[in-house]
Amino acid sequence: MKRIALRRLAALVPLVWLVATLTFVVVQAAPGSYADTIDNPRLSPETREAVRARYGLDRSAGDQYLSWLGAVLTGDLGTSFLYKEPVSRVLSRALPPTVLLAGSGLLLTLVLGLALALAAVRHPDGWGDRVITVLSLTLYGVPSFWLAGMLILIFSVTLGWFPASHMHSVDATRLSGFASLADLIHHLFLPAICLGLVGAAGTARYLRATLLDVHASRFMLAARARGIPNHRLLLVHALRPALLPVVTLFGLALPVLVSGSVVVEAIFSWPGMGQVAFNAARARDIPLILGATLIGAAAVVLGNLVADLLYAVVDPRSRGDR
Amino acid sequence: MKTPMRLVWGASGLSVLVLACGLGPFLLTDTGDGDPLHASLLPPLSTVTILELNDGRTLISPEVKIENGLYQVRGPRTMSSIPPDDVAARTGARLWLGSDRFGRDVLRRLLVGGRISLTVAALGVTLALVVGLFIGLAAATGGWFADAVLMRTIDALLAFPLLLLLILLSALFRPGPGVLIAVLGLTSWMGLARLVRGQVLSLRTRSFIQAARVAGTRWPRMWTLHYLPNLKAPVAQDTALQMGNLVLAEATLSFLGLGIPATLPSWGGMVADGQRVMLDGWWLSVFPGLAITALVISLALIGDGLQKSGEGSA
Repeated sequence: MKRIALRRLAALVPLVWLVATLTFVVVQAAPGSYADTIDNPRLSPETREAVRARYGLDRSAGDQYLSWLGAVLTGDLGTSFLYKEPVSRVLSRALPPTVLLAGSGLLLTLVLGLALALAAVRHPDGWGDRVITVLSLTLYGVPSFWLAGMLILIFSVTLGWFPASHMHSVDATRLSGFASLADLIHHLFLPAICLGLVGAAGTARYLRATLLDVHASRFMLAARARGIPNHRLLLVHALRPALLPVVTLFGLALPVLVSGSVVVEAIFSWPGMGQVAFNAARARDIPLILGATLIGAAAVVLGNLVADLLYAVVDPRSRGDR
Repeated sequence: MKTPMRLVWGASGLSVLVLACGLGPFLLTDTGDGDPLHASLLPPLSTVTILELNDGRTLISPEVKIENGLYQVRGPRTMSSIPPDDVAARTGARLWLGSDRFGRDVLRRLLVGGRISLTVAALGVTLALVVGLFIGLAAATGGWFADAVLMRTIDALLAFPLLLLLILLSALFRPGPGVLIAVLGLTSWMGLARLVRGQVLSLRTRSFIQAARVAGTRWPRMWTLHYLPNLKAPVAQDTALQMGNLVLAEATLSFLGLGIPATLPSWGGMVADGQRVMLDGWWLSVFPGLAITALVISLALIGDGLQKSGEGSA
């Protein structure tokens, strides 16, 4: 299994390279460059040209690409046009808030999704199941930007329970360790709930279907015949095989964990990767776009790999032929 | 076989939305471009009087009185007096979902925006369908080399975080509806191509396909006569779910100001506008959000229902 993992890991490098190269081609093909996005009507054409030269945008595309690739191979992601500092520093500053937010969102997704699915299949097609089915279907269809707005309207504007934006209060630097943590959690609550609710809807829909499939299988009938009580039947016998696809969901969630939910971060002014990527794309900040894509792509492929490996760990059947 | 209830609900929901968006704007009283002075931010169910003036202007206000022989048109902050001779026509209208900051009818904008959202999503998903079917079939039947190249390409494309890619493309190309359709369609065919490839590979082991191959059937006929009819059910189901995803993606892009241009109404854009004045008018962001939700749910129900009926017949 170690050999498979290593081989798959080696195959990631060309894939990530391909993604970065495609991104470079797309950015080059698009009209305009960073120099054109500077919004200052008094900027003379000469100055604009100087800006272009300053950031190396006057060189040929192939030239820019090769020097970028060369730098990346030595571990240098270049300097962001927009933030005027190394791309690696911008990204490493944005990554922790994103991991925190998306991690809490993912946790809520799993816990809520699992709880809803379990509650739903206790009495399939009973009224509890119906309510949960309708609820999860509704949440599945709700756009996250709209849900975020509604949460803000209800819980911060009307009730005033939670802050509507940012990661810390303005005076957070004066707070002591514990109070500052509480402040962070207070700010984290609404965006994490928003991510969690939207994610839980899909997870619950999916899990309910797999749980019902498992329920119909013969080993469940055998277990029931042995007189195993219902709750044990559900939590031990049915849940274990039904959790297999959740491993895949976990792997699929990793990219969001790293590249951030652009929408939720934008609405709650959360200083994470999604915001950085959004700003970079709007400013044609090539090194930052490439850096963010590189990390996002690496996360996607790593996520798939981790899911596959976890699958092999939890499900012995899948080890055989690969 | 019994049609699953989900399919019935989903199809009814979708038909209602399509009919409402298609015909609704013809049935509503035309309030033109609205009246920012007198009709801004009226709550749902307001009744207004519409005065068409001789100089082409339209005044819309919930309160129009005749005092001292003049029309007194009241707005939130202004009062206009209009001599009766200037008024060409006087009609009444009901703003079912209220009006926005510029005094425009929210329901009307919602329905017109729905046309754009539905069209963009439908054409986007059609593009994804065509590309996905073609690539999937080509990968499954074109020999190992084509298969390897196409599947690795799909792996690479799927390695892009989708929303980031959409944002990147729309920020770079500033799309109108046409480019938006291309962007949405060309970023969402990969799943379908994989599905089609898998289905075709399993079809190829079936005896009727083998019989057709032995009989020397050429590939265009093979594709249209043997593969495509057997792909209908899984493809239809995947397409319905994918269209829901595209509706959400388009709405998200429009919300971020990167989708449908702000000069056209769009559901995502209306939510964004509404959230800016959320405290003055909750109805501005609530109804477009509900419309998106209803459309996505209908499509998901259709997908679920198609899956159920597929299971039944298999």
